[in-house]
Amino acid sequence: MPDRIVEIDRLSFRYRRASEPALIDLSLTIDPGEVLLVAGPSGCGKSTLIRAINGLIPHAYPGELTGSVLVDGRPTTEQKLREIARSVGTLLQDPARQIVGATVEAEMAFGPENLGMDRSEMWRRIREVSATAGIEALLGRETANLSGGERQLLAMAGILMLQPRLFVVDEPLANLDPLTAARLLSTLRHLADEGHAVVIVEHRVEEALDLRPDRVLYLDEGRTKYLGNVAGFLEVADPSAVKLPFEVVLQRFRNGPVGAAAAAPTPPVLEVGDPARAPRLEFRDVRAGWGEREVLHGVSAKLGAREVVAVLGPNGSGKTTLLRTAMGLTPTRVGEVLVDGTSIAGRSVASLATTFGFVFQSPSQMLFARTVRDELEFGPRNLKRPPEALEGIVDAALRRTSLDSLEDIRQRPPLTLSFGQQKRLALAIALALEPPTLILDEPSAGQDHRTAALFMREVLTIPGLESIYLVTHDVDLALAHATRILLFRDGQIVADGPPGTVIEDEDRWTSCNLRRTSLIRANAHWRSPEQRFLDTEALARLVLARDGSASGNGRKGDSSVGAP
Amino acid sequence: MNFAPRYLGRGSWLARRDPRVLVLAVVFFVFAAIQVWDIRLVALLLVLALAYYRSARIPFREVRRQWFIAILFVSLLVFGNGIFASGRVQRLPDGAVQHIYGYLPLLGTPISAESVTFALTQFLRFMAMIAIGFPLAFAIDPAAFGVTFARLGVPYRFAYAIDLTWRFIPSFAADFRTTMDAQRVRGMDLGERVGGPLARLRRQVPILVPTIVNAIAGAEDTIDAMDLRAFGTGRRTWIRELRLDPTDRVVLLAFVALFVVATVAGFTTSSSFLWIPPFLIPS
Repeated sequence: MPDRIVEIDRLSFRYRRASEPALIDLSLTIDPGEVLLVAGPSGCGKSTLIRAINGLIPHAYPGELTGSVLVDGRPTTEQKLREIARSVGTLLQDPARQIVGATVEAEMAFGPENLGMDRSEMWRRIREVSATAGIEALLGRETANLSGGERQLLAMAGILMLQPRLFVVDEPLANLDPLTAARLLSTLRHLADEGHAVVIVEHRVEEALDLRPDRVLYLDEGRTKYLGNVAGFLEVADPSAVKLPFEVVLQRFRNGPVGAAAAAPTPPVLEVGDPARAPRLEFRDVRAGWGEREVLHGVSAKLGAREVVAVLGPNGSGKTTLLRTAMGLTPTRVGEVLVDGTSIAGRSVASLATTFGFVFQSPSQMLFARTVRDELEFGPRNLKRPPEALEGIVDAALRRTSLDSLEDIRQRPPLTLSFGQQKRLALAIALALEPPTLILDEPSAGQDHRTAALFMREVLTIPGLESIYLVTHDVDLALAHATRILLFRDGQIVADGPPGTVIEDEDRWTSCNLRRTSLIRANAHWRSPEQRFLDTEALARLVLARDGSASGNGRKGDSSVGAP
Repeated sequence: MNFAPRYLGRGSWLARRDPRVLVLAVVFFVFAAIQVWDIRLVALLLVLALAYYRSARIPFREVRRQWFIAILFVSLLVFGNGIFASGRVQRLPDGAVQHIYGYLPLLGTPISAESVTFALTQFLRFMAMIAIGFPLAFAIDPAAFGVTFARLGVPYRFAYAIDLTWRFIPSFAADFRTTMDAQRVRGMDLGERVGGPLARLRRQVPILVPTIVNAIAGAEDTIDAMDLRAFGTGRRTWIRELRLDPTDRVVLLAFVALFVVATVAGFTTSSSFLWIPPFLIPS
């Protein structure tokens, strides 16, 4: 086909310093108007595939390449990046790193400027693209002042300016609230309908399916496990590795054991304590913010000493700021924050760290020491713990996070650990100060479905922990693991209650940029009112059990796939 | 903490000038100012510089911290060097004698009318330079730095690096703040003032290492993003059009004239020598 955009033939690639190939014997074609979803767990070769298509491999990433990648009929090895950039536009995962212009117009013009485009043509495209991408209101603004969602849309506009035939999009949903993510997907669908091709890499398959992909490439350890239509993919995909719609998971459970998920236990819940006891954390009409901007507009809430509380809401609504005020990281302007019944005014962050273990989104923001042991001893030393107690503290922290099973872990340099292990180390660092409560900021960020779920399970089984407060965009993760939800919008709490109750008001839910996932619909359909919200595997097992009892009673239960 | 340059002079008379004028004004002014040692003329230069600065309409409350740091730095530099370090005075007319007030205890450094005048002259000169220089950071559109330097003959890769610096200072500052917070929740006391400079620097390792590691990792993504939009692969155009209007030409000409006058005066008058105010000379 002469119009074909990409032809990959038996591509294998090994990075220069790697011992194993990142991609093995991959063949693929991409035609105009086609949407290809690339799914798979972390390390499956998705990023390498993107680099091979957009020419960074071999132009920027040297290594051993066999097979061929043709863009517009010509091998990428024989084209300059400048030529490939005219056909392939790439949206990287983190828009903050991708945006190089200081203003919105400068960012949009960056690509055309590099291609030597005429000034009047650039202005014409800026007008056209800003309308298409829905960012006309952003024109004239400085990029440093944009929100995460606005940056994502601007990064997309920067690619649209080049009018490529193919859009390659790397995990665009990772940093977006569900409704902003839906908006981006709709732009991509529109592009495909206009005849452009789209390659989207995403492990949040359920949401990516809104894009109505024509085909799915399912990768695992660099190899193609499946390439074909969506229906076929849903039959072979491992539900523990990628996030699939509930109906699909249920069907797969009915067909027999499903990967790791079949053996996964129900998510544990911390023991709920005495409600009469003073709350661990109380906000009394709190106003707080950054610089001149007020983010929290009079928040009042009591978080119990034995609760798992998830804070949900749109990008920039103040979720993280709320929990930062509890640690004294963001000062309170008006109102009061109390910890265990006492105001935190005048207390240092260090003293609050013995009550709250704060785990930041990215572990690399804190790791600095030569060894894991030094890293774990840093906090206790700061708090003047006796030297003879340090070894016991380190051992306990490693044991509570299951890191002690890794060989020679104490002497390992922290930055040589995998991302998942670094997340657990960040957890261990917080636990080394022996706090009864953990605060988790986006615990699933940067992790695929399997590792995020595993991480949450591990957190909930940490012995001696009383409560967990978390901020997340992952609706299902929050609903399945929390005992209580705080719904945030525009710096205020708009709903507060058990997961099953908070999701009942659909209008309120969607007004907080949250979507009704298939799991929410399925819980509403299958779960009895007195039951807690169940995660995918637990709910699937519940339905199977009902199927069994219904057939045992000689009748077929109401269990048709997709019924919710 | 916010290190980010902000476009505080937006819309002002100076911000409406071609940014090349602002860059060249600094160059000509500095070369003019370093040739003048007569404190009366240096004071005049300071007045000119402040008038120029005022035309940028930079709100003082937004930059008072930067002014405070600049004045502190200049004071330490000038008075520390000029008076306490050696007491030597340059740019005295031939045969001039020093009028000594006394000597610093322990150091024995002489303090004279000449050394005081020297320090004051230096102080005024540096303040004038800073007043001329501040609009560079606050009255040029952040998106125009690259094209400004490119049009002044700087190779575009270097010129764009200036753009990128302005662009990423806020990001770097944000990462720095996050890392500080991440270490504070581990009990790190950022205000601890114990020990010598080396010990204090060592205590900053938990902040510096993650910030630098993250900056390097982030730079890799940025380089990829720039490569993927064909940066540095051939002829480049700039969306921002720079054109000198008549006012720009007049301003530029004024600074060129200032430089020429200062240079000629240096050879033909006593402007390149210290002038000691009579009231400073002890009777």
